[in-house]
Parts: sequence; C-alpha cells; structure tokens
Amino acid sequence: MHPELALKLLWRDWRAGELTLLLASLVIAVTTVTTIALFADRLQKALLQESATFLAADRVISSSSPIDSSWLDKADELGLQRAQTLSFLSMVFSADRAQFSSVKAVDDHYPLRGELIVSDAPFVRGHPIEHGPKAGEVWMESRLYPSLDVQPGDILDVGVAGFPASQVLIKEPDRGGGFSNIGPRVLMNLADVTSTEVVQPGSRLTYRYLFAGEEPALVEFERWVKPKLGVDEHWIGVRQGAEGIGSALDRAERFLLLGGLLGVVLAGVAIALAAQRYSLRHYDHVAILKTLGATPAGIDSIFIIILLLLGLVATLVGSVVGFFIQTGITSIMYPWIPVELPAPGLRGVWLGLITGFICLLSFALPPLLELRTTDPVRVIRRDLNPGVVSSRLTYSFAVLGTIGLMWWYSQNLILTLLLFTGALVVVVILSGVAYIMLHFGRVLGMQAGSSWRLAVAGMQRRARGNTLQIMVFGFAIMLLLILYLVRTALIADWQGQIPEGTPNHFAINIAPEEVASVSRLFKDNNVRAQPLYPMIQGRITTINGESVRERNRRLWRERRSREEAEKSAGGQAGKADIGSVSGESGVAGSGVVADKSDDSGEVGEGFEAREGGEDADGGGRGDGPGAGSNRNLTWSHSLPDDNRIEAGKWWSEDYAGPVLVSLEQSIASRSDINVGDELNFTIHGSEISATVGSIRSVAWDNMQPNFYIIFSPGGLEDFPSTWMTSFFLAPDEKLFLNTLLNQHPTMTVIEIDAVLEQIQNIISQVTLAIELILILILVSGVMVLLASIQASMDERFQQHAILRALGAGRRLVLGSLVIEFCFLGCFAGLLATLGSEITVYALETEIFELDYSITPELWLIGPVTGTVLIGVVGILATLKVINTPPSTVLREL
Amino acid sequence: MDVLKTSSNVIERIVRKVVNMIKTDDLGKTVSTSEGPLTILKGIDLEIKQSESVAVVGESGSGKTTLLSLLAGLDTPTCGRILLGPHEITAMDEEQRARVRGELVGFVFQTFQLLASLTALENVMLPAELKGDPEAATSARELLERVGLSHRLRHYPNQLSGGEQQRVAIARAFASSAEVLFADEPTGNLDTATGQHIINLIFDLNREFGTTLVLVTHDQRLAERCDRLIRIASGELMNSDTQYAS
Repeated sequence: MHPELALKLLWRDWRAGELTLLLASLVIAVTTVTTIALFADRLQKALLQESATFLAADRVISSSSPIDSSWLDKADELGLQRAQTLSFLSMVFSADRAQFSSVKAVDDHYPLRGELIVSDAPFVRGHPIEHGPKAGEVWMESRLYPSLDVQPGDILDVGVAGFPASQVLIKEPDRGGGFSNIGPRVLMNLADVTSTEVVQPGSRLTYRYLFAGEEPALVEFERWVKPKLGVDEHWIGVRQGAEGIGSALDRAERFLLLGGLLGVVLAGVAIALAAQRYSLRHYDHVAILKTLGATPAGIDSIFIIILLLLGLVATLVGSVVGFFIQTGITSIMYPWIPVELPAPGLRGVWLGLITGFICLLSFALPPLLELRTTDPVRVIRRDLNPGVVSSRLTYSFAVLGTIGLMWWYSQNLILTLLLFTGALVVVVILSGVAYIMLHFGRVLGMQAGSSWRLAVAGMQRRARGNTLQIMVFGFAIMLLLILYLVRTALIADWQGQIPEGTPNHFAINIAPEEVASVSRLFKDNNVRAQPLYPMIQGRITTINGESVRERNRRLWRERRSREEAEKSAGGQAGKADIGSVSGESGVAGSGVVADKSDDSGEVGEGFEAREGGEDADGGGRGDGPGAGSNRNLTWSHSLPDDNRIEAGKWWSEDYAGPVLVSLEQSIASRSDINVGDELNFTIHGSEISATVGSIRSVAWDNMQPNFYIIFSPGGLEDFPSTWMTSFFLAPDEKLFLNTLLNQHPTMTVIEIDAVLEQIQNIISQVTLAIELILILILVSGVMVLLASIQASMDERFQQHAILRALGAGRRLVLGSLVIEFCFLGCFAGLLATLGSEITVYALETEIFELDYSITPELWLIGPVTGTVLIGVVGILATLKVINTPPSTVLREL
Repeated sequence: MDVLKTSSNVIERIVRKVVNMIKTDDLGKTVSTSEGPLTILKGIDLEIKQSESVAVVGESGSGKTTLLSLLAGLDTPTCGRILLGPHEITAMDEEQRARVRGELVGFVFQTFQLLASLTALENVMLPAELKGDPEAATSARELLERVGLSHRLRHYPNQLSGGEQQRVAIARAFASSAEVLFADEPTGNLDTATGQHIINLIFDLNREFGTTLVLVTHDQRLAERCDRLIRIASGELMNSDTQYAS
C-alpha cells in the first residue's frame, strides 16, 4: 500500500487537469441519477397523493355492512387517520318535489385526502372547505336545487328527518361513479343518519372506511387486515381506486425508470471512456514506477486508492448538485405543477451515491486495474504498445455493472434483460455497419480535396477507434431518440385516451318505451351520445354441462398447484417480474364499466378494483372476472367501437340463427371458455343456452358502455330489459341533465365529468415530468460525446501539430476536423435512427403496450441531429487542438 | 582497530572482485513478427562481478538495449537464465522481479523517465517510498544536494533543463541503495559539456557507493571509462574481455 504516493499522484493529476473529465463524468452520472431519482420520487409521491384524492384517503375498506371494530382499533394503534362514509340511494323531498338521489353521510374527519368544494349558490366555482356538513344540515349538488325547486337554506327531507340545505356541493374528491353514486349527490353528516330512519335491515348500503397516514403504517395495516377480509369486504389502494390513471401512472413510472436506466448507461459509457483515457496516459508513469520496484499489487493499491477518493468526491459532489438541481427544477416549474410536491426522501440521494460507486467500479476500475500489466521495459522501448486493456475483463465488469444497476434500479429482471439484450444487438449491428461505412468513406474521400482526404484518411487510419466512437455517438443519440419517441407516443396515447368530447355521463335504467324519446332529446339538444344498448341481468350457470362454480374451483386448484410447482422450481423471482412488466391488462383500463358483476356488492362502482377479491362463483382469486357472477347482458347487431375480435368471428348484421354469445377475453380466460363452448344462462329465472361465437378484447378506458357478454340479435328478445348509453356534456351544458331527468324521472345518470377532469390533470403533470427527464438525459448524452472526443484528443494533438509544422494552415486543419466530426455525426445519426426504430418497436409493443408505427421524419432528424450535435460539440471540444502552438505539442511528444 | 578495518576493506574488495553480480547462461530473446520469428539475442553467456563497471556497445538494433532490459529484469528472455545477485530472475514472476528491482537495481535512462507529476524531491523519494522507508525525504534531499540540485527540490521536471533532469534521475537511481546501476545512453540527450558532467557524476557516485554499473552507450569516451567493454553484434556477444581500467 502506498497511500501517500497515491495522494500525491491524485493531487498532481488533478492540478494537471488529468482527472477533470473522469471526475466530471462521474459527477454527471451521480447528478443525473440523483436528480431523476429525487424528482421521480417527489413526483410519484405527489401523483399518488393526487390519486389518493380519488379515494379521499390513502386506502379504503369498502363493505356492505359495518366492519369489525377491532380493525379500526388496529388502525388507531398504527397511528393511521381514519374517516367513515355511508352511501345509499334514497328519494329526497322538498316542499313539493321529490328526487331520487345518491346520499352520502360522512363523519367529521372526512375527507382525509383531497378537498370538498362548496359554494353559496348553485352552478358557480365555489371554494374549498376542510370538512363535510355539520350535524343537522345537508349539502346538495347544484343540479338538485332547480330540480327540487329549492334555494340554499331551504329544508330538504331525507327519510323522516328534515335538514336545511345550507351549502351547494360543487365537488367532492371521491365522487366516482357506481351504484351508490348514480343519482345527484346529497351530502350529510353521519350522525344524522339514524334520525332519518332510512337505513333499515336489508337496505342496500355502502360503508367506506377511509385510512390515511405514513406508507409503512399503511403497508403494515394492509398486511394485517387483508387476510381477514370477507367476501363482502374490499381493500382499495390508490391504484385500484383510480384505475383511470392507474395505467397512466404505470407507464409514467416505467418511462422514468427507462430514463434512469438510460441515464446510468450513458454515464457509464462516459466514465469508461474517461477512465480509459486516464489509464492510457498513465502507462508511462506505471512503467517508471515498476522499474523502481513497484509491484503489480502495489500499482493496484495506488490506483484503487485514487479511484476510491475520486469516487467519494464525485458521489458527494454529484449528490449535492443533484439535490440542488432538482430543487431548482421544482422551483422553476412550481407555477406549472398543479400539485404541491412532497419533500424529497433520502432514497434518491442514496441511489445516486451507490450508483456512482457501482459505475466507478464497473466502468472505471477495469481500465485502471489493467495498469498493473504495464510492461516496465516500456521505459526503454517507447515504441511498445501501451499495453492492451483486456477487453474481456473490461467488458465483463461493465456488463455485470450495467445489468446489476438496471436490475436494482428497475427491480425488474425481464425489463433489464430485454433492454440489455436489445442494446447489445444494436451495438453489434452498429459497429459492423460503422466499419463498412468507414471503408466506403475512404474510397470516396480519396477522390476529394485535401481537407476531405485528410479527414477521411484520419478516420480510416483510426478505423477501430472511430468505429467505437461512431458506436458511442450512435448509442448516445439512439438513447435520446428512443426517449423522444417513447415520450411522444406515450403523451399522444394519453391524450388520445380521453380525447375532447369523451363521454362523461352515463345514463342507465332507460325503459324500452323511453329509448326513442331519449334519443330524440339528445339529438334536439346536440348532445354527443353513444348508441343505446339494452341491459338484462343474468348469469352463466354451466359451461359445457359443468357448473361454473365447480369448474372455477377446479381451475383454481390446478393453477395453484402449477404455481407451487413453479415456485419450488425456483421461478418465483421471474414470475413476480413478469407480472409487473406485462401490466395487469385485465385491470389496466379505467372505467366506468356498464357491466359489472353484482357479487362485489357494488354494481357499477366504476372506480372500484375490477379484479376485486373472491368471486361468489367460488372461483377464488384468479386473473380475471368470474364467469358465474350476475352480469349485465346485452345484444347487438354490430361489434361495439374499440372492441376487437381475438378468437372466432362476429355475427353478420342480419344474423338470425341459433343464439350466439361473444365473451370478453378476461372472463373467458378465467373460466377457460373457448369458441364453440356451450353456455347455459339463468335470466330472470329462465334458462337459455348459447354457443360461444367469439372472444373479444374491450377498450375499458374509452368511457363508453362496455359489456363482458354480448348476445346475437334476437337472443334476449323474450326478456324485459332496460337500456343505457353514455354522452358528453360540457360544464355549461349541465342543466340539460335536469331537462333529461324531468322528462324521464325513472332513468339514472352517472356523472363522471369531475373524475375525468382529475385524470386529465394528472396526465398533464406526468407529461411535464417526462419532458424534464428527457432534458437531463440529453445532458448525459452530451457528456458522453465530450468524453469520447476527449479520448481521441492526444492523437489529434500530435497529428495536427505535425501537419501544422509541415506547413498546413489552420484552415486545412479546422476543415478536416469539421468534416471528420460531421461525417462521424452523420454516420452515428443514421445508425442511431435504425437502432432506435428497432428498440422503440420492442419497447412500445412489449413494455408500454402501445401501437408502434414507423416515424419517417426520424430518418431526417437522426442524421441531422448527429451531424449538428457532434459537429458543434466536436469542434468546440477540439478548438484547443488548433489553437495550441505546434511547438508546445511537439516538445511533449 | 585501524589495521582490522583496513584488512576488512581489502577483503571486501577482493570478495567483490570475485563474486558475480550478474550471470547469464545461454540467454536468448526471440519475438514474433508478421514476417515470422525474429531473433534479437542468442547464446549470451556473461558474468559481471560486483562493483565492476561494464559498457555494452554495438550498432543500433544490435540488441544491446534488449540485453540491458533482460539483465535488469524489465523484460523476460525466451531462453536461458539470469542470476541477478542471489536471485534467478528468470524463474520469477513480475511481482517478484519488481521486488528484486526495488531492492537491487537503479536506472538512468536516456529520456530521464521522471514522473512529470512529481517534484524533483518527490521523484528521488520514490524508490525509498515504494520500499516503505520513513527516511525517504531526508536521504533524497542529501542525494539532490550531492548532485548539486538542492535549490531545485520543489521544481517539476518540465521546469528543469535536460542536464538537471538527468541529475535528478541519477540521484533517484542511487536513492534506492541499489547494488547494480543500469544506464541506457545516459548522455544521449545532452550536449557534450553537460554529458561530461553527467558521466563524472555517475562514475563518482558509482565509486562512492560501490555499485556495479552496466552501461549501454554509443559514446566511445564513456565506454572507455568502464572496467570492461562488451560488444554485441546481430544479437550475439562478440567479446567481453577488453580491460580498459583496473
């Protein structure tokens, strides 16, 4: 060990500027990771908080009866805040009118998250208020005032009790859709419910127990309470509570993750290049030290000490800089970020520190360790090669380090391996193509003028180095293009998910004789409405003669034993990963689902977890909704919009044959139903059988009536049905609801406009976050370019000094540099475009579940970006070559 | 007492004259090139006694520098063996050879080979520091004073003239208390006057420290100051018996 010598060398290297690039690359790596991690962490917390407002809590237990009081005691014991609501449907009365309403009684702690907005008059903006109505008063939403012909302050009768309607309810956080929310809202105090005498044995009630607090306590509570939940009780987390944004959040997280991963890889490449250069410039030092008796182990110790000190400084500086950059970004973005970002946690800083050290060990250590192999005879024979860095060693360290970091970062082995293999394939292709391009460049260059010849000859002579450089440039540009493409696709997809005019109201319980007049009313008032669908309650009883209950139990047992076999075969880790990569396609949609099983106790509770717990049909916890539950059935001539046939085929418009059904794919998969299977249904006490004609996928998030089971025309003719549809109303058109409901008092309208607005808010925040991450990655990319250019600086200095000594003008040298960098940039840009198209195809289809399409403009953007970026950065970085007097350079040769 | 001391000095000198410091048996070096194997040295049998000074001369490309690097343990031969002091360095790995170099060997090179990032003092301290000697700075200062550079301790190599740099290199070579000093064209980069000064310095110190000196040179005057001359041509030893001085 030679710590003093190591310190001396480190100090002198620092003063001589030898360490600047390595240190800068390291600092940038740590800074990028820290900034992304801190910002993503804060944003994620903020988004979860915002999402929590959908629930008015962090977690909710929903039940049709009061839950065990010991559960609440446990929540208290864990220090969780809690609140309670009770929802039911009831007629409410003014002096001379009545209205079917959705009543929600809340305690004094409600809401735990989000805010209530009230006003003194209907149809105005209102102001936030901390708690719900006090005992002895009720709040009603705007539309109820004209509908009941009352003014704020007038008395409203709920059951046998009367309360003044003191405020107008403009917005409540957990409005949601669903059975107990289908009418206009009346909000009252939980303490007043008994006096109304509305709640009787057999009443259909929804109890919601709201919990909020620190994440560890919530997790602990979840672990404790979940096994105790009965069939009737549901645990709802933020994601299940707001499925509409669930998939958006998932994708945003994956994008941030991808950004982080690419950031690490870019930083790693920069560090590796800088370390390689540092190492090359120290071969002579080491040769001298060795002649003086330094052993290889002694050399190792010197450079390990240097590296550790360097790592310590870089990680500390990087973390601090990262912390301040993200604070800066947050304060600059403050006016545009619609939510208050929670304070950053320490996790981001740790992540940055550890990443810095891992980067250092895997990318910088191998070239430095190679110094031990320096041949001491180099002190006499300067013409000897400066040692060859063992590629195998360097690459294995880098590969292990990258995979390790990616895995640790993403907690997702499949995503890691996919990205890594993809990148590897791309790198191999890129290097091959780059080499060929250089060869042809030489042929072309020989025909050209002197600057060209000089540039191309230089590139050709350093073909191996230049291939590496093109690859590095190409790789950096490719990563940037990938992020740009994925970001664009994601944002377009999100914005497309809730386009302007997306239906934001559902109308159900429309009697058959009202269908014509409702359609007319929509038409007369220019309301954009979807087609009307009949809805009939029914359930599947047997599949090919086997009872659904028995079949599902059998399938569940089979799945379980298969899973256990896999688990014992050591496949547990991989399985967990697959789950999070593929996305829970069965629950990814948002949605107001027209057809919900009523076994969950909450028919049509639109924002309830759709996978929800154990089904009544005995299927146990599976990967799709139960087939045997009571469902809303419909029939249709044509395949609804956004539905896609996955198996079998849709019947013709004029079909009149035996009864066919089309099943949604998750329901079919859970009960293993295939095209051609015979199903028996019980509908209103009668039996009907049908053959499965097709299996469909459904876009649950399109805010249109969607059904699990659709019959062929005529199949449900004999059964009485109600009809449903969805339609769009702008905020200033809301009064139309009163006209609609006055003329059709028995129909029910579910309003989801407020929910949709919240979703759009969140999407705009996520979009913003993604743009910011892109900028950070761009900085890393430029750093790689600089490192790569720096790596070839020594040779350039020598070459151009000799040329200038021989009489070449500055113009010729500058010209050759411009041509060389633009040439390299253009090559790299072309390759990057090719690579990014391939990778984005894989990413969009496999990870983000988006539709891929080729981007023609990219084939222009890529090469142009490459040429300009590398041209400008290259020239700026090598100006020193031109401006240093040749005598200075030659003296040092 | 004085009689005893004188006797022991005489005995030591006699012992030195008969004990081999370097011995080679059938030493050879072949390298592979794109045009097939190339023999640089072959069949070198050589003995160099303790405190002896030997000049290795020959044409450019004759293999003298290769011989020097083999004898110093900087490079490994393809065949034959080398004894350096009590150590058979041809049977050692790089780790062991490095220890032997640190223990026995000092170098002076044509291109000085100072670490540009260290001061004159730090450069001279290096060998002792690598051995973990706590007195490194004191002895380095003394040596720099001995070569007339006490006023240049804190200067970096690029702030020194060629002659000064070579003096720092000589001080460094003796700082490790080396038993053998290998010098590769030590005056090759210096003007005549400076070169003469450097030669005097090397021989003075060599005598003072009783070091064995192996010197590769083209300079006839320099070669003539050595005890013995070894001539190499086309990788083979031509003679090794010309006695210039006693």
